[in-house]
Amino acid sequence: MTPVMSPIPVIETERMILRGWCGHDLDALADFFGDERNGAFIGGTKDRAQSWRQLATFAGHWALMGFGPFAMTLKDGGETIGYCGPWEPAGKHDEPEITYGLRSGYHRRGYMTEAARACVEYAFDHLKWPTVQSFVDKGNSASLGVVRKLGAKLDCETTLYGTVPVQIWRYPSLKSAEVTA
Amino acid sequence: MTKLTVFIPTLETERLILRGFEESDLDAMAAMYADADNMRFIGGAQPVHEVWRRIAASIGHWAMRGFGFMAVVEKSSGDFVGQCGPLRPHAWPENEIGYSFRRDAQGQGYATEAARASLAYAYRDLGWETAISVIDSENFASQGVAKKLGATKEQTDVSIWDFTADIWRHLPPEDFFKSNPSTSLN
Repeated sequence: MTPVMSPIPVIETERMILRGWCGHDLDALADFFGDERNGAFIGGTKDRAQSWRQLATFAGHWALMGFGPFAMTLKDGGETIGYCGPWEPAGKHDEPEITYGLRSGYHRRGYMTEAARACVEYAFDHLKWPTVQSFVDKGNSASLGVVRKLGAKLDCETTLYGTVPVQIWRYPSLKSAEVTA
Repeated sequence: MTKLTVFIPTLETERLILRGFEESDLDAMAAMYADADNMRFIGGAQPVHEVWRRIAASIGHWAMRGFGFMAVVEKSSGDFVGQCGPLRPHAWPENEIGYSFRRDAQGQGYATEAARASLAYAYRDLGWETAISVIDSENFASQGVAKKLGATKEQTDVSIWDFTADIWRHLPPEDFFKSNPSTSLN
């Protein structure tokens, strides 16, 4: 047997638990990836089967890299409302990023900023990334709001996969979340 | 701390090793997926960044299902020659044995050897009671592999995801092990 073991930490924020992935997170991911408002910024929508593959990809990213996106779950009720975390799939860019996505029913309550803040800190403190950044489509005003609230600075423009234009926003080191490892 | 624990077996056949994917398989997998003609029955050529995600998704498939694609390595050379294993992605009709091999590794019975080992693993270790293979109606090489394992075509033009394919039904465990006695012992 080849055991591939990746400890996935649990990060606790004020209102959320960020944790590893389970099969029952599919409903939440299918809701996010099936939403055309999100598809516009991530290369199109995904149906339920494609969302399942994305869930498997998130889990496999942890196994391959030792880090990856977390499921964002509400302390109150346990609902999975999005994903957020360090992300470095081959061929996307020569730097890793903090990737994130929030189901549209949970916007405008600061959840995305709260989770991203914890993941930025995790990348600085635990992964020891020298710089922590997110790649943002300049037309994605919700995402621009998140990076600005966290004090990120626009560095430059680049392309993902060699073709998709995005801005690189670099975060300052932040102190917020409690990481239990 | 939650643990993502993925146990992926290593299966050994006469000429092949089937094992969990590693990131170092990327170049060879990408070369296989770059061959558009060879990949035409399973979604066409894929760029390297998509292939990396497929490797990650294969490991994640193991994490969620307890089975999935394995990398197939030729013992004599250590080279990656293809992928094979028990599969059940979301919205798939049933548990299946899937396989795809590099063009230059085809024609030597490798796919049959790997699929036979995967089916034996599914029946013996996973407790499957039946298995299918989903095969394009024009993919004669893949149909040949299924036939060699004793499978028969059960349904044609079945809609799966965004494509249609035929469903081949493998022999049930008892008949399979009777006609493949060597697989029941390892």
